[in-house]
Amino acid sequence: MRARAIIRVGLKWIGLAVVFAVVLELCARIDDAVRWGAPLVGHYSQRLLTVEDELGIRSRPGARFEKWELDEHGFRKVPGAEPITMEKPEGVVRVAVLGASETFGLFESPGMDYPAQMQAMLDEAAPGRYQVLNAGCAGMTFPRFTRYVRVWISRFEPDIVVIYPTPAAYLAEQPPAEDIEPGTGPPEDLPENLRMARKARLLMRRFLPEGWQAWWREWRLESYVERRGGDDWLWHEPPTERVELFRRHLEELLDAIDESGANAIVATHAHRFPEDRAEWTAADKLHMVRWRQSYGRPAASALLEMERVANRVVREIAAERGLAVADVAGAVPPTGRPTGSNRPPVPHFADFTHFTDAGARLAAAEMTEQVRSVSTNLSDPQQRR
Amino acid sequence: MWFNSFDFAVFFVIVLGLYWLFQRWRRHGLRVQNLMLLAASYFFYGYWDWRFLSLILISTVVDYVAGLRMQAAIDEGGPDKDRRKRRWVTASIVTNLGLLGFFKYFNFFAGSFEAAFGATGEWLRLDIVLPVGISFYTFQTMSYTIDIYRERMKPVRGLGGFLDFALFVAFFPQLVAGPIERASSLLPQIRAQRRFSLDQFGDGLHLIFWGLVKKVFVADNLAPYVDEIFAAGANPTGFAIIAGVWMFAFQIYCDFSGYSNIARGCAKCMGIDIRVNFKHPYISTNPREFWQRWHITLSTWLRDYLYIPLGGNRQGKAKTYRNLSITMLLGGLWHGAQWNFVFWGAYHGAVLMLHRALRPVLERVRVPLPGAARKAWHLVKMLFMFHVVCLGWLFFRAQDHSAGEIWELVRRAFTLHGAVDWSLARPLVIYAVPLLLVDLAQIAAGREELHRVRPVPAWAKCVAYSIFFYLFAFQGATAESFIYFQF
Repeated sequence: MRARAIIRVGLKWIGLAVVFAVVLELCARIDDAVRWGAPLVGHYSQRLLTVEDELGIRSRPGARFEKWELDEHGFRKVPGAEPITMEKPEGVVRVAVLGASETFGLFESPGMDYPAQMQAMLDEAAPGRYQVLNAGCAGMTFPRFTRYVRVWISRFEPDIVVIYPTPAAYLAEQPPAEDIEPGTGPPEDLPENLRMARKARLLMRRFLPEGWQAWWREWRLESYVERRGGDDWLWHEPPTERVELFRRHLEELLDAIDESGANAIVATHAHRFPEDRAEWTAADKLHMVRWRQSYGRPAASALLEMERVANRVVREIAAERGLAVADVAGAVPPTGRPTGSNRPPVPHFADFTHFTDAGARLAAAEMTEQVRSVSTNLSDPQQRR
Repeated sequence: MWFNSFDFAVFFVIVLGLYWLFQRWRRHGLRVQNLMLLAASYFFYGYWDWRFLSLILISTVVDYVAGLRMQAAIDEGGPDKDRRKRRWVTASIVTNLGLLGFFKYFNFFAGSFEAAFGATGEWLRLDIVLPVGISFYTFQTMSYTIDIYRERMKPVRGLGGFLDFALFVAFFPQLVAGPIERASSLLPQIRAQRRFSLDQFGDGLHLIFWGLVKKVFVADNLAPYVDEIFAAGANPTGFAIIAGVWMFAFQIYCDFSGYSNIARGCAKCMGIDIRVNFKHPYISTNPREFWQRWHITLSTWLRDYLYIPLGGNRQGKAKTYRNLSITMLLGGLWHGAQWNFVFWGAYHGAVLMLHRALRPVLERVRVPLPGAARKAWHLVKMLFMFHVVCLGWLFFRAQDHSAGEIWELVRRAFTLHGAVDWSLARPLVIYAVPLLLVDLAQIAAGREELHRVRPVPAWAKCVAYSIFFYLFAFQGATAESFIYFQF
């Protein structure tokens, strides 16, 4: 009798746990539908934002996921802005901005990614003269962009192409592939996914103290490094061949831009970490672990050194080729303090390298200045190089 | 340590686990439980700023000693009994109100002095940090000494008694934002053996869940809209002001009653009952009823320890009105050292006086109405009273505005100045309507603990709590402090 009662109670609790999980998943789906217009049934994740087609991996035209929305050409949409046509409007200076997730915009509010803020700043300076295309795509690398420029971006006849690099990608265990094979199949038919999983992950990030998260992630990272051979396996500084690869890939991309007839502007890359480690906050420490986890092999020193070296390479190449440099690394400090008030500092980075609205504003201001300076040399915007 | 933080969740789980573990220790269980709770309460308070623990300790020691001395005077009797009692109760009141006055009101009065007498310079101002919850625990501990002075209760004695009293002053669930407990209600519970009851534990969890929904889902989500409308330098339209005040009415209700619910829930999980602080205040049909439903523990404290000692309503109309005004003015000032709170208190005092003056007339013109019409009339009265309260909230919320700007806000709201932006109705529908539905269900059921209503099947309750959980965990705004912490 007692065993039966225990089984009955156990089954009841299992049943209630199932009801709990099902209701949460239903709530998540209704929430997505009401808030973002997501379908109640079907796949719904960031994977909707990219596609592998005859152009290779790129942003999926017309895709939408939560706050991110892409136009029919696969460029990030700016709320309320005029739609972009392939044919360039007369008298307009077209500026294509290439970069990975920092450019695409992860944490900024809609319309506050730095290319969108560049558009606003350029409109304020010269209404109707500039059109900015946010051609950023999360996870894109230089070789992919080289192909993307040749096959796709060049069709939009940009006058200026701004490149915002992601040097840390060259410290991944597998460096960015040089031979990009275009995908052949139709857009992936993504399977149904659990909507709660992403929400739960985000909740944990928001709710758990930063110190705890850093400890947990560090433990996992250390276990991973240990399995791979321990400290000897780690990179404490960027390998020379990776730096050279970065240089070569950037040169190839610039060649492709040159071939397309556009003027290139190269940018240095910014991150959140103060030079003096004594100034690092708990959040800085957590984000460094997260940054390291993204690539596995580089130690913190290697990531930071790679940033410095890559920015030097960017400046060297720009000097060799006579290109304008947008010094984003210098223009976006880790935090900013509102002048004349006692309010707390405003963060410029939401994680290791991705901007907040305020950080994106500084990056946009720096790039806008260079775009305006380069565009003054374009006597007739239709007369591209 | 906010109630809606991870830190508190970990803290509470550990405290609760130890608390019921010590219960099994039959001989000294209660003593160890109370000691652990006292240590946990000091840790909870010290987590903000351990230096301010000294203020709690001063209040605790002074009131404990004052209680004993007054009881000694009562026991010994004699012609100077009253004088001795009065001396000690004065010591208690001066100490507590002195701490409160210095830390909370010094700069306010110094600033007002400067403004009144045209003094300039910062020489009068001090760089004082307001200790969290000081208004709550000073009132709570004063109830102990005043009740002993009135010979309504006996003081606790000995080291055990002192520790129990210290726990009464610092009991962490209600330490920083109430409810303001009475010694006569909480101390006996602290001194008595508690028994674990699954029903009571369930009630506690229900209150915590519901409080979190109110705080995190309703109040914190409405806050950005309200902040934008009432920001200094904003130029809201009449409709925006009305929508903003409605939103603030729900924000402050859910913020404060949410906190009270979580506090009561935490205490209930430990087998301790804390007094109800809110009873659906927005269904009130007159100002008197409103104050019987809103922040009940403060209004009853003011009634018992200020209004009645002033003479209450037993000394004629003029003195009743005077007493009402003083009580409400000080009630307003209790909320914060700013003139808008004083004005808010004065407004409610005026409303209460007007209602008292008109009540005989209103009762005389009462017309017997059929059932449906009577309900409709009741609804009209509720809506009217809600808007009377809302006008008060406008004064309360406009902290960053000058008197002239507040007047302009009132003018715009009443003249419906500017265009009507219906998008402002959206947050009200999304965040306030679910709250109203649950409130209605609670009113219909006659109890807050809806999970105790029978015969609701277990799966239906599970669905309801899953939705609650989703709302506060995934739809809650970023954790913010509770509005009433600043008071």
